[in-house]
Amino acid sequence: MKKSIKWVLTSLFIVTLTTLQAQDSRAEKIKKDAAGSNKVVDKPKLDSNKGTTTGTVSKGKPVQAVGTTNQDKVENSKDAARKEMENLRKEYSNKIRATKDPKEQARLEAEMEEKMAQFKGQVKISSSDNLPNASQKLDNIKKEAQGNTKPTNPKEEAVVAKGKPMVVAKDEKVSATQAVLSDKRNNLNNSKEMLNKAKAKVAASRALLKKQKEEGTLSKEAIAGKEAKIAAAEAKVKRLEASIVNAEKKYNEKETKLSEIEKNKN
Amino acid sequence: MKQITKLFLALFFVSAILSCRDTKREETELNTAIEEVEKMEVEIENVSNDLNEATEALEESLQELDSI
Repeated sequence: MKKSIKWVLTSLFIVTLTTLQAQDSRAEKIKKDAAGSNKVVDKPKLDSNKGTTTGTVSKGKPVQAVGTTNQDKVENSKDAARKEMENLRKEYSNKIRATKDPKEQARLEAEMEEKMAQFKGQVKISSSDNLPNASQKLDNIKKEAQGNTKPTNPKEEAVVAKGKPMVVAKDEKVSATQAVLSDKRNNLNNSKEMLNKAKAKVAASRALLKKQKEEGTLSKEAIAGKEAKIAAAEAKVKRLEASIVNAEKKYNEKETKLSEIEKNKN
Repeated sequence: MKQITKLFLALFFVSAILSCRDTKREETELNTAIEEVEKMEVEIENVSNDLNEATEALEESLQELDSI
């Protein structure tokens, strides 16, 4: 074999190895960045007195911080902004759920939407929408925020497009599901409180009916009617109890699975 | 062909195949994880709906108890 062919083959081999190595290191870097961006915004501070968010990313800036030379920084700040918005929404959802007064709920909703709009920049969410609609709009805002950033270096964009979306999509899915799970746990706690109150109320109703029976002021039909109502309420209490047990079990299972998936990402 | 060239070629093909397999495996793993999380979301939503239905039903029953 000619000497030149040998050289060509050897150089081809070296080039291939170098390319593979570079791809690997890029993928590693992307994974680290994705993990890092999640860790940075793990605990953003929410100042409930002033109603403003403070953290690693300042309000209004993240989506506008278009870095033309450092794509990773831009991606990190976008992730952070998304996280901040998610946390803000979660915080307000909890407050709204904890409040029974519809006026107070409406006020909190309006406040949340206003802050979200401020956070995004100029986007305004109608205060008449309910909470699920508001979260859908927030998703749209996030998409817009992603769309607004135009990297000027196409090579960098190509690298990001190849490696990052899958990992980031997975991480985002995991954190979003964790947030949903946390919301559902709050609901579960509310249901538990309600169950205790319902049990007390059923017991009180039974005692009252017993007293009325002893006094002999009620007809047989009235007694039967009240007995039926109490029995129906007891059946519903049992149903809710079963649902709570089931929900608790399922939530624990899902939480364990999610943390396993989250650990596997690194 | 000399032995060394054969060795280089073999190494080249092996590394290329392994690299492709690794990428494919990672992609599959990520897809599986995403699908799993999506399934979880659906299950959580179902459980939550069931809980809400039970809570609403109990609320109605409790309102009826008020008239006792």
